Amino acid sequence: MAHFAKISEDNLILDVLTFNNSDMLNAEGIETESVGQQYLETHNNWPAHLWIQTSYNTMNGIHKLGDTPFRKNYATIGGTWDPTNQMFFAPKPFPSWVKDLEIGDWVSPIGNAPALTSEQESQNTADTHAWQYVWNEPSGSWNLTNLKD
Amino acid sequence: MKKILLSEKAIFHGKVSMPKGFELNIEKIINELHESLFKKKPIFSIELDKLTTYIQDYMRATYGIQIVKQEYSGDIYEPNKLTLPLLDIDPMNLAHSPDFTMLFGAKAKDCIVRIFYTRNRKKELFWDHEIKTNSFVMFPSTCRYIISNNQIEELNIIQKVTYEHVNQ
Repeated sequence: MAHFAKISEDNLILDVLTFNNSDMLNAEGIETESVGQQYLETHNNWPAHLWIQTSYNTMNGIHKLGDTPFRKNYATIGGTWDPTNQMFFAPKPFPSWVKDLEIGDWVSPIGNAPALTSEQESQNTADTHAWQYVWNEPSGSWNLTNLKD
Repeated sequence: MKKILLSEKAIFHGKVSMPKGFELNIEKIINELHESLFKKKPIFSIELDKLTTYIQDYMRATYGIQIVKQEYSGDIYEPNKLTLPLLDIDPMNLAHSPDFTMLFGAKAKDCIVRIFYTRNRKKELFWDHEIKTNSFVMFPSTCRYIISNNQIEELNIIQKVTYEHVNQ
């Protein structure tokens, strides 16, 4: 099956459609994105250049079945298409987060959350606490939070 | 202190910005509405399907609200007149009533929709919103509303689409 993302003129992913691979074959019988785009324009009243092919099995730059990853991620409705880097991104979780082009994901401007201490891990395991670092957008920092509170 | 949001009453509005070359044919929408009103026929319209899909796509992509079309209708509003209060739900048949009402300005000049709502014990609160040509406003169908044409020169033509909220 072929998967195509329908995007807006400002690169918001509006929908993802699936159709038969046979509908995107060119005259030589080779699957071609532009043929699929033309097919979608004809049947969906949306311009060909705003349909972008996406790979169902690609996530964070890795193909789940070991094939070549395609455009970093499978397109997610509400996410964005980055035409410069030819990548799909999930919706931005916080305004301050920035793109990591290596993994095709959003990351905090100060990096990943710190690791939990072994004591916190053991309390989580014992189910007495639920320690987790939660992003605090106003302060731009990771806050250690007990989700059981 | 923590907060749990049980429900919200939101109004969505904006201009319909279709991609270049794929703009809505508003003349066609008006003609189809005329035909439906005068011949008392249901509306079947590719242009309205484009509008409906546009609203559905943006509601889902921007707010995560998945809606499907229930019904097309529309009306023509004479100059300097206002409607009686309108309500799109049937209080005796809520199961088959819509969740959202969308009004699209096919031809609108000085056209105001007054949307009534309640907030706890405060009743008869209202929000006035101007509908312009090629723009829309969408609100919960449980809200009563009045449409007024506040000028003396032209008819206002408003297309209505009701929607069901399917992922609530």
